[in-house]
Amino acid sequence: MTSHDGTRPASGCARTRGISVSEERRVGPGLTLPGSVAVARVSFREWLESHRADLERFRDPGADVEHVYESLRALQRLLFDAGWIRLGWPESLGGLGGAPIFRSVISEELALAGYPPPFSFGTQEVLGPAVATFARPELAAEVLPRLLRGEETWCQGFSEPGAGSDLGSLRLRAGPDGDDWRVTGEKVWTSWAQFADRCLLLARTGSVGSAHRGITAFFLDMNTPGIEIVPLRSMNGDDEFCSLRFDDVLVPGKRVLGQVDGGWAVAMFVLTGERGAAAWQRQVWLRSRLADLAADPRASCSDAALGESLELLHALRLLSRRTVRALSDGENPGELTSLDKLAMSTSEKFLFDTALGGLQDEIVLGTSPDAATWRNDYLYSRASSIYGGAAEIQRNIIAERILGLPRS
Amino acid sequence: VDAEDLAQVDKSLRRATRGLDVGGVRRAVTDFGWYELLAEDPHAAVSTLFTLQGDVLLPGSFLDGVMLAEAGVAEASRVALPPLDHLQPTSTLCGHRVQVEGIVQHGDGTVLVPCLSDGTLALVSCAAEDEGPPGDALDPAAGWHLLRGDLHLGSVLLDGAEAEQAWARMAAAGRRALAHELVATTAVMLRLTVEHVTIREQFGRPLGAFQTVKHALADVRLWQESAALAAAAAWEDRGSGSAALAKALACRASRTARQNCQQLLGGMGFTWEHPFHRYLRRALTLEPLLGGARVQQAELGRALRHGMVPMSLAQL
Repeated sequence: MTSHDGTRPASGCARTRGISVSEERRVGPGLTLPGSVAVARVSFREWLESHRADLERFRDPGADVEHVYESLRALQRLLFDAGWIRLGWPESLGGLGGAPIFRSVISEELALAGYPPPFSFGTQEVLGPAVATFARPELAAEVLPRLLRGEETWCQGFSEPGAGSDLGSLRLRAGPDGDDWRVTGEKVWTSWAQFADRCLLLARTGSVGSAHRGITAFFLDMNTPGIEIVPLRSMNGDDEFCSLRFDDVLVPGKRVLGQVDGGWAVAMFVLTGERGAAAWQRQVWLRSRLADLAADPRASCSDAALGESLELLHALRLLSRRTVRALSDGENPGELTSLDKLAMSTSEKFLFDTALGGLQDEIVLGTSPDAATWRNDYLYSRASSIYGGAAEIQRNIIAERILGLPRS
Repeated sequence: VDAEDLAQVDKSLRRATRGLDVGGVRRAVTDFGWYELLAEDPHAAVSTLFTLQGDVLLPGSFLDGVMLAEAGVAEASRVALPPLDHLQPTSTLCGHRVQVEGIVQHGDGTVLVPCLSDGTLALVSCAAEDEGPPGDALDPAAGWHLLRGDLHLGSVLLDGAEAEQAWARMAAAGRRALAHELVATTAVMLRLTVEHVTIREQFGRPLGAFQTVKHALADVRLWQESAALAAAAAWEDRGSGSAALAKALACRASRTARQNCQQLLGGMGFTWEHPFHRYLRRALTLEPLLGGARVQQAELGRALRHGMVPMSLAQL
């Protein structure tokens, strides 16, 4: 079962040849913009190895949320200063240039070396590309470098009490006030809003019945007067979620992302980003949890269950790799990402079902921090077929837009 | 070889083999120069022919050729695969007798038998003339039959570590080929069903407008796509792990298609006239060759426990 795990990129594959080959050049002290994915991987591995001692303190950030944030923020800053986090972002936005696929190489290598994802890795990949694409250039040039340096964090105001899977029916209202906008309404299931400096918010600017055609995306500051943040504890006990209330909140006109009434395109772009590099990061993490489970002497999982879990994660990895490559090449993978999302929830739930089967005493009755981690991961995995477009929605999209079955 | 060349190979093989019986197909494939292509570019050769085979259900199999080429064995023309749902051989060598327990293609060529000799693996050759037992198997056109009995040893081709390594490579090559074929049979089952549920109306609307129907076919599409990517990815490192993963995902896709497509094809798919049953028969025959889904999963699980599966299998 051994397999070549070298650093040579796969040859003979047309898709691989096209990607990420930027001209090799020096871009700062000690860092050369890699000419290929393979070079980026090797250089970053070498850097990680030679900075092992400096990085050791980041390996286990503990459980206290405030402390975790500080530790991840410091890691982010260190990687930014060394240049690694700037790879694959345009120079005008604080990056060093090069193909976006470099970002996925860095996040994977960091995880493989046993470090947690830095401060804003998730946000960077979910919201960063949308802001880079749809914000006015001067706004993007102001906020993206701050995001990359770990100086701020953003949240995503999409879902509402009455608009979950049916996102197009959202009702939070933005009305014009001169050149500016006034926002009133509610958002819910907004992750980490209590720590966020900005919010990418979807609001209704068209008529009540305008559905996805009457939505506008805004990028607003979370310290604007009129925003109330109410924590909403999730079933796994996390304070991740919040519900947000907006009462006549003033948003400057220059904070519109894309076109007025063109917010649906921004939302779809965000969802695609979620299934690109962010999904890639998640499959790396899931694979590491499978390795933990396979190595756990207490776990009584069958070989077949572990193998099936690997099989499902392999499917996810290959789907995600295709999407990451397409996005890096500037292609739109479109509805194909619904396959990624369905594979992600299926493989994630199967993995933690396998863990529950093999570590039942720990997960049900255990009281150690390790037991709490497995329990938390198991419970959180239940949401994977709900958030970001429920599995039912993904199956509808696959059937109607990929297979061409009639819309009901 | 680029995508255009592959399309050309597919087109030529498709035309050359159309409507032929098993002997005709073998000659046409040989005359095309497929074995030369196999030696030069196994990825191109295997992905085209096995995909075509699964697509139109060519009679017979070229699995022997793929596995023998991988081991560099010229002294045999057929391989006695281990029993269904087994990767490891159960045949035994004792003196000059080989107690064979396996599956072979119909024919009269010399058979390579992987077997155990004092607990270690050996690859031996045996002369065997058999057209198979009388009567039909589940998929008579696939050309596989059970070979059991006491055969006279021809010669020991490989033993010890060499035999182990050669068998691992042969098994991986065989699984990659089967994965391509199963991906293709799955694609046809899905296509037939999508066509059916688009045209067939019940309760005043097409079956495909019902969400239950959509969801069942979305699952087939998900696993078929995953299996196709895994079959292609298995050529990147040509390792045992990625071949096992490709075959495991192909079995998942095939199983999902067998179940969901059959249900949605309803009474029409249950007739002899409808092509579905021919694909079902082929799928049920191919899935357990060189180990079915559970065998591969257990093998992958053991490898995982021993830290033998790289974290970054299928690199960016």
